[in-house]
Amino acid sequence: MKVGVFKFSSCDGCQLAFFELERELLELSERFQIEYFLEASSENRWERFDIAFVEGSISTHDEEERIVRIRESSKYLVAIGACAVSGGIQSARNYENFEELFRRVYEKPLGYGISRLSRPLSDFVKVDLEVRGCPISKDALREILLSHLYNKSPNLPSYPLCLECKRKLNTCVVVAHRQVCLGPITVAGCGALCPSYGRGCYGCYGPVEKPNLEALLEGYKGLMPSENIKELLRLGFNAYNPNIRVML
Amino acid sequence: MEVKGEDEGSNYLIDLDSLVELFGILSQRYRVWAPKVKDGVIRYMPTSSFGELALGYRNIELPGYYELKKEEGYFTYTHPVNSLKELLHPPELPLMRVVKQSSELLFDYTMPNGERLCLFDVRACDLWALEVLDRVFIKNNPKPDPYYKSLRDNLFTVGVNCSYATSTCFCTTMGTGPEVRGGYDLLLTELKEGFLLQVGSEEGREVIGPLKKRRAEERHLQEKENIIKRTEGMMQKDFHRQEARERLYGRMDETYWEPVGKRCLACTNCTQVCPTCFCFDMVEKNGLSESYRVRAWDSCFSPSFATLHRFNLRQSIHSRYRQWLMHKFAYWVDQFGTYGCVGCGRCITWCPVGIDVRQEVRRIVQA
Ligand code: SF4
Ligand code: SF4
Repeated sequence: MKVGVFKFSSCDGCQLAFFELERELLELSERFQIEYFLEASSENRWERFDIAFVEGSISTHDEEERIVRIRESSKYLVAIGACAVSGGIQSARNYENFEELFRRVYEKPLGYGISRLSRPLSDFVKVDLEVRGCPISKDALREILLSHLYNKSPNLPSYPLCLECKRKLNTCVVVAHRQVCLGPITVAGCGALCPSYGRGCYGCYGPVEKPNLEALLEGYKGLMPSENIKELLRLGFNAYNPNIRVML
Repeated sequence: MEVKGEDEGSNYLIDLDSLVELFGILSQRYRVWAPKVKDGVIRYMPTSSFGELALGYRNIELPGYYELKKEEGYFTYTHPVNSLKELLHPPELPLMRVVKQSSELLFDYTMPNGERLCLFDVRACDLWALEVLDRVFIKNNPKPDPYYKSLRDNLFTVGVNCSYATSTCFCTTMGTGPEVRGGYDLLLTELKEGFLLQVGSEEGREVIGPLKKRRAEERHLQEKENIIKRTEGMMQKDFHRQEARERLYGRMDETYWEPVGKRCLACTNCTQVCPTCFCFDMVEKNGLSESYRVRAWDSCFSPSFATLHRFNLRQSIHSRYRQWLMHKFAYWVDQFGTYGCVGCGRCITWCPVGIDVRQEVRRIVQA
């Protein structure tokens, strides 16, 4: 199977999962040939890909074209990480006055066409699988590769973090410690990292399908004003996720 | 409910020293789980000495709220935040390991290791939950579950009568407490003069054999009655459970459920803390040279729970809430001959947005 690893607007952190998985990748090298991976190799071939892993959000005009080309060259396209799935931290600009913000940050225009919005891949092309997280975990990556190997569907959670948190026998920080936790509307998969250390989840895995944000804001009123929670979400990694953007 | 028996002449009074001694005997015979304070809450955990127990604490519980305070006395709290479900139906139980050796697959079925367990300080609601789980996994199950059974067969329980109820307790409504009426090996009630110790099984009798104790007198049993009455008085009767059940069957229309669907997050917390919610998923954890099959807690609030052929039959949150509540307060009776709810109130306390299932039952039934 021919594999390509691509990146758009992002910090390169999710691609590191491939390096963390070095040992397995070597063992699997007969089955998976990495044909294109700029961060790992100086020899890159762009032909047809059986699996394309794409990191980063689409935030320039050039990127809008390139993601379409990747889609056309790939059988199975996987969005990896909050940038590719939701638009990333850089989508905080989507809720601001773009021109004004741009002037504040840059003295003169950049040499390339930056888009007003930072958007997820799914706004432009069909995405076959989304891997959540900022960054993604190497376990999720292994699961995807193995599921191709074993011809099964990858076992990645769609349920809320609370389920994972409770399986880990954590004490709920909302009820016992009066903290704001986004766990109830956030997808599981991180191992409930933050609540395991006694702090609320801040949603780096992004919203569940159809999150009941209104109910969360209402229920958390005594902990934090609704506007502040919304602000937290707007400044988060998944602010422009299709499941939640209309609510913010 | 099957009662292991409370025959006459099995009532003793012990003092604090004997209680400490009893705990020592238990620790020698069993791996003991008992209430301890952790992260600001009382939780059943493996416990090796009497000094670790959460004695002298009081849990303040409200919908979506939990707090601990100090209190004069010993068994001054109610049930811990977790329940015996965690012990008998663990959140993640490995069932099978598959290893690849040369070109062969080896299947290794993992069974619990058969060690003797003791759950120390189980309240009436949770002992009832034990009976409910027994019916689900063994008694009313055409294929009794070997994993549950092997843990269950090794379980020894020390019950405790509650002298206090929180605002989320409703065992009187569900008819399960506060008095422990069976299902225990030993039973304790904290009295003014010491601890009333009652025997519920042969094994219990054996355990307390060497213990320094004296026969309990009529006034001790009377004091126990009074404590139970007083605790009962701390709770309201929230609804009539048989009537509620009958009426619920006529309330399937979504208009009854939409109001709670608007407030519920579908976060699954209520089902995870419930001592009788038993739903599980089979999770395949695949590796390159070995794989595991794990039984993991699931929830009817999860979007993947009712997903068949990639289509989730219960898209709306209100339909998931309806499934859960109807199962607890109606269908369960048809299925297992008991209610699925024991009135412990954990789902009320641990709902992050404080949804009170008692109010929902009342609202829907009265609508
Ligand atoms: S701590 Fe957060 S993730 Fe864990 S149960 Fe509570 S709300 Fe859910
Ligand atoms: S704990 Fe509360 S918000 Fe979460 S699923 Fe249960 S009722 Fe809904």
